[in-house]
Amino acid sequence: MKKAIWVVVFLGILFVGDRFIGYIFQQQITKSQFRYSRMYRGEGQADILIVGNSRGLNFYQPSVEKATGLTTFSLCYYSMPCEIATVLAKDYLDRYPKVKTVLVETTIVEMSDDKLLPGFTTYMPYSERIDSVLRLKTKETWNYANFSHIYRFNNEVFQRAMYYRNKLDNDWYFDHTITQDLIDQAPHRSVEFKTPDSHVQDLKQLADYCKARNINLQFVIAPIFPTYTVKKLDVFKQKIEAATGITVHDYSKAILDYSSFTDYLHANLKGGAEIVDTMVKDGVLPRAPQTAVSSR
Amino acid sequence: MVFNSITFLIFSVVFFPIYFATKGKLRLWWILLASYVFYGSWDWRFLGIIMLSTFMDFNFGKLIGATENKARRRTYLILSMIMNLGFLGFFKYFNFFIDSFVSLMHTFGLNPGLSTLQILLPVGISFYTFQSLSYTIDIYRREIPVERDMLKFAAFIALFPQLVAGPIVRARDLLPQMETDKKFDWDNFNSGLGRVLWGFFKKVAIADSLAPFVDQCWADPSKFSSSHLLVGVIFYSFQIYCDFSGYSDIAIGLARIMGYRFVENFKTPYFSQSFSEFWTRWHISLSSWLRDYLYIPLGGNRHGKFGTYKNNMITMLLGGLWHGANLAFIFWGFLHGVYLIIQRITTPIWRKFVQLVRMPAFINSAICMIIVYTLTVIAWIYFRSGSMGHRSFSVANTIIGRITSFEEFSWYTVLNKYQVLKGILLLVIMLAVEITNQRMSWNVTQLRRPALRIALFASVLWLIALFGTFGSNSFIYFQF
Repeated sequence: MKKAIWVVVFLGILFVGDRFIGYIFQQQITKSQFRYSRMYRGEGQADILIVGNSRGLNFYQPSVEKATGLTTFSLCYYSMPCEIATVLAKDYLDRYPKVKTVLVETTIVEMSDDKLLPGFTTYMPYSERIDSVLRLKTKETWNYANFSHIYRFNNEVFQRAMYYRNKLDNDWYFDHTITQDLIDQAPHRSVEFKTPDSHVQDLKQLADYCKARNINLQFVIAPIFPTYTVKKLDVFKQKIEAATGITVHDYSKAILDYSSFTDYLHANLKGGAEIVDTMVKDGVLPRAPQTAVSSR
Repeated sequence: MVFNSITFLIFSVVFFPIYFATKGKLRLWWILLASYVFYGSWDWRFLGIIMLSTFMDFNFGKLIGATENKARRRTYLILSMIMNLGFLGFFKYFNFFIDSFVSLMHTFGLNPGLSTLQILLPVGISFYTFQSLSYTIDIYRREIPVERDMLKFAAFIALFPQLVAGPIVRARDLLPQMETDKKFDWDNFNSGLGRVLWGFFKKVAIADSLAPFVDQCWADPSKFSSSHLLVGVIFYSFQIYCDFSGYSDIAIGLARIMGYRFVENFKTPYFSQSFSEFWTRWHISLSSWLRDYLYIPLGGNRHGKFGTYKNNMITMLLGGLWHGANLAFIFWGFLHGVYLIIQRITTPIWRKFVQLVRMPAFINSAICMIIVYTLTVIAWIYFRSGSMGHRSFSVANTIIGRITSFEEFSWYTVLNKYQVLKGILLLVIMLAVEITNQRMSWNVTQLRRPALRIALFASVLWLIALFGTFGSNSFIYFQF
């Protein structure tokens, strides 16, 4: 009998401890300076919203703000899965409807990182949309995350949020220059961006959502190293344009200077600033009225 | 069926109640059946080999025990060895020797026209072969009595906690324990469960968390800076430790719950101050097996300085070969052989130096530990590359070359810092527990206090929930 009581006590402590520790972690997430925490906390108001994976990080917020004179908020994340990116964008727009422009780096369409997707269990309590995506796409993880609240924080996203607990996450940019070795190999290497139907549909839903709210949505393709081959890029663009009815601005070959790249798919800080300037000139990114006047 | 899977959880829930509800022969049948189900879940065809090996060694044991004729005893022992090593040789080394022979012939301009076979390696064959072999050798040496009960012998060989990755439990240790029916005991349950949980923590939280970083380093080392690769090789040394010792902890814990005591397989090996000490703290069941059945029969340290060096080298080379059919594993064994020989040569000189400069004992210990750890890590680089086929040496050499070049050696060039920080945090937790365990014996004394036990069990489970990787990743030593 005494042993049975200890077993019950143990299970009770295990459960209560799990919920209590989960609660403490959630409090820390809420207070974090990480981008998604700020967004869900209500501190993410900006004029321009950037959505993308690591290629979206080419559009470095301070560079965009300098070139446009407008406040900017980035939802980009390394290997960001498309289904989560579009959900985060909608959550953002629900909370901050006064956004002037949403800029989407469209190669996100090909991303579905099964390893990263479960990482967003950390933000499950803040978003019904994230909850339903995870329930649909990673049912097992979703079950575990409901069974154990500590498990919700067993991921890279939580660790990053803790890293940025007390400092802003505006140090996400590529500061290296591509190595000579990679430059030499570039002509022999290639990539083909895939367009899974479900992800194209995610983009279409985001486009419809923005149209319904009169929000300016811009689709772009960020720069790619000049001698690196991208196969069937036209097909990629056409498929997205046909599904969403929005033009895809192709900047894949807009930068020719090798020193503006970190690797084949990522411009560095210098290249990022160059492309942002080009996008402002092209009108893809808006310009603040006073900036527009002063630049004349 | 791996320990870190839902299937094994279900298996345990079914196994243990029936195990404790049965007695005598019925219990042995249950152990055997459950162990064969456990083993057959990898590939039922492998069951034939283990059954044949069990049947033959049981009968060889009886034949050796039944005669006093020295020549006959030796003949039966040799037949047992031929069978066991034959299985091992065929399944594990056939292709390696064919490949090596063909390469050798090519160097002489000959084309022997031999081809390799598509051979599946039965899981755990290296472990149960050595276990079974030690039984017939011990009978031949008259160190243990002949086992007359075939069922008990089969249950001893197949006992699932140790079947696929050790510890290599010898007949002299386990068979006497199987004489009596073990009753359920709360102390055994608590200390066993504690050990199982700790093993899971080391495997799913530490080893599997370090694995992606390590795999990335070995996949293309030329892409990374020297500091990144240095972190990678240090992580690998702990990945393999946590993976293998984690498995041993789970095996020892499961056996403890059943009422059996297995030999310890690891004793904080990276705190060794010499290589001879390292081999009494790392994979103890294998190193003691090699010592008892290879090194000592070869002459041990009884035939002078050079005889000892030779025996050290042969033992370590075969220890390397035991791990796998690749020159990199043999080279790993060779390096450890060299380390042992150099240690024998330099120890007297070092001792004199320590006395001469009046070096404090703790500094001496620290220097020795660092040297042993560093050289062990260098050997691990070749070991990790051993499963990479013909690329193994080039990958290992690239890693060592890049690290020693100190090119871009800084914290900034270490990628995936989140993984690194997480890894460091987990290693600090693991080392803190294992070091304090040496003084406080968590598993023996502390766990008897219910409140502390609950706190420790719950803490480990919470840590597993927070850091565990739940992909049912296989254990590294399953491939050996």
